[in-house]
Amino acid sequence: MISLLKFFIPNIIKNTLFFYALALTASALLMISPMHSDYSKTLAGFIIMLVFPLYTYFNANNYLSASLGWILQTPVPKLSIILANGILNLFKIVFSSLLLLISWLIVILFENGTFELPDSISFSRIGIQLGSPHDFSIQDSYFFIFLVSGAAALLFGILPDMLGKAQLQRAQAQQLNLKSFISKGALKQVAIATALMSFVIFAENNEIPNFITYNLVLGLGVLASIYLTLNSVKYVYDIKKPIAAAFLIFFVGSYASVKIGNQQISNHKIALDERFDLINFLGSFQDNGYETLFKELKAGTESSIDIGRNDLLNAVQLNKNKEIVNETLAQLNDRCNTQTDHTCRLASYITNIRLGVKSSLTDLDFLRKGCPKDLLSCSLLGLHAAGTQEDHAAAHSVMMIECKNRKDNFNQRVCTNYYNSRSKQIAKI
Amino acid sequence: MKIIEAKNISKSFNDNPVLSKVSFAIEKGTFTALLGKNGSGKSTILNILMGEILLDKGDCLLFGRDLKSNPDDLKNKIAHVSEKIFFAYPMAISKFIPEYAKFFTSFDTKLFFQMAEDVKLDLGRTFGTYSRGQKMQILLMAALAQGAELLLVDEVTSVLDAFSRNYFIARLKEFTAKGGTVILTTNIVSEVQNFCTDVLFLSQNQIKFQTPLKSVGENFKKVRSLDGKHPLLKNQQCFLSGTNSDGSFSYIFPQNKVNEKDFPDLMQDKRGVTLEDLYIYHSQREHND
Repeated sequence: MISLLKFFIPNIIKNTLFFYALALTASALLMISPMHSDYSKTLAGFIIMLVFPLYTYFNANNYLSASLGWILQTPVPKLSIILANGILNLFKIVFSSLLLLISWLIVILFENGTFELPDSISFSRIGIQLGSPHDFSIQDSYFFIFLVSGAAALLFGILPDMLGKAQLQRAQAQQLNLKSFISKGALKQVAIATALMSFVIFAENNEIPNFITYNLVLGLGVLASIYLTLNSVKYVYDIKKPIAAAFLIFFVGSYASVKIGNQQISNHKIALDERFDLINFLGSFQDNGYETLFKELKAGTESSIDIGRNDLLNAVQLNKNKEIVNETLAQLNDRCNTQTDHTCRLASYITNIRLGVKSSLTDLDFLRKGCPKDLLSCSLLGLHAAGTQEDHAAAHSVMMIECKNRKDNFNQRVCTNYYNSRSKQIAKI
Repeated sequence: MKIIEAKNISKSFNDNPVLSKVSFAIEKGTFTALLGKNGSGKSTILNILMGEILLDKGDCLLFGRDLKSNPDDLKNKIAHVSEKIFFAYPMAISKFIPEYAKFFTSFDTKLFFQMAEDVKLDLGRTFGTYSRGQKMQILLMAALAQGAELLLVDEVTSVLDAFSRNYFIARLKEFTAKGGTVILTTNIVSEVQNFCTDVLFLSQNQIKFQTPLKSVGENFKKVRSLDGKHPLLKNQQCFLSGTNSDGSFSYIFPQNKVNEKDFPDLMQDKRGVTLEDLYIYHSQREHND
């Protein structure tokens, strides 16, 4: 068994590192490609977090089983072969996971300038943030990779009979006295299904509407392109050509899909921007006071929030006259009423509080009527803006109720952020 | 000294019997040609000896040890060459073989590279990139260099070119001359006529006969005919065994079934019965049965 491990481990390391380097290079190329940054990040993450580990697990060169043809000619005892197979599969998982961890730490270092973990991410939930933070993030991806790895190890390592029919000649399978349950074709289906299911699972894990549709199609398309191309063309042409063709399809396909879906994505992004702006507001609101809020308002150039921004800025910064401010606010409120734009209402509400014009739960109720889709974030904003202990307590109770009722990912994240910040506040007290 | 003793061994695949109560023995230092039609169980016997297939019934002693005891260490003494074996690893053969050698107690790496030089085979490529014949050369070289005492060669010589076939057959003869034992299966019977010492013929899941090559045609006779119209040639024990360069046909029959003196002198074939004649005779008998 030791001789098998000595033979395979250095080669698995070499092989895995080689593909890891390829994956990093491909990701880097994607990042500098003219593709929309959200999608280049998504594809880069897709390659590193999914294609790389799947390759590591399923590549025949990393299987002891694929080499059984010659291993069985050696005097290595059969039990040792099976044990070595299991050990090597575990090693593959640990080694590739280590590389993924390193990737993640690099990303953390790159984005934060430190290895310090963000507050909202615990070590058991580490993952590489893909795309812009509000568009596409893989929570639990590292843990998820472990799950996939475990399943792969179970299927292909610990139960080598699953692999037997596919990789071994019948006689070799018999030598190990294995009963094969799965055909070679079926094994391929298992591998493909695992890859697709992995993608679906981690896509759903994010639970962001529209994300699944677009990215799933993109991911499935890329996977299908590579698989079908390799499998159909390799029998006709030299093996290098289908690989090149697959990469061509990969890049052209992904680029074209971005172009085609650009408008849809753009719209989607604007909607997301509006929602996540609120979260950003909350963060800055809490940490740096109202001045940051107004900087944010001033920086805004797009989206419907501008409707209120300009008016507010005029009212607050250009003219301190209370009457004019009130008049402006009244105009703003009227406009917000007719447009049913909750962001507009929020801006109005915050400004009211900032100017000390109004600060009561009446406004919160008013706000709630205006933003039925994002009640939770409205409530949260109201909570932060609450001027009195009573207001705060009332807003908190609204938050609690809404957090219980609203289970979608967006609102759950708002709640998580709220819980975290509240815990900090309590700790400070 | 017997290095293989098989007694009533049986093996079936999916209820299809391939070997049925087969018994045979192989002496040390012999070069045995294992013959039989496609699907007659030749490769199955080799795989059983390699421990790659488990016996359903019967006993088989290899170097005096029972195969049922799963003696993996015996693989230092046995080398197997088969198209099913694939050095499936992304490593040039020149690098792979020294690693492969470490699994064995007496692998002669120098001999391997010497043979590669003899047949002018470049070893700087991965196994999968070689032609079918080249792969067989590599496998034969690995088997010969393994330091084994028994070589099981499964239908590989037929894919070799004339030069390398002669080279490896000479190597195999040299191997037996030094006390090694070879069992070779082939469908090209004529190629083993000149170098094997024994013949083991499988037919209908059983050993039809096992005999030294020199006595293989003792009980058979051949006649030649231009038109095949002689009445005795219609005898059910008389089979067409081939055509001759003069356009005549050769027929083979067992002496105890057909009296050669009943044929005119002109039809007598003095060249003697070859292994191929015998193979055809038994194959046709099997077909008629």
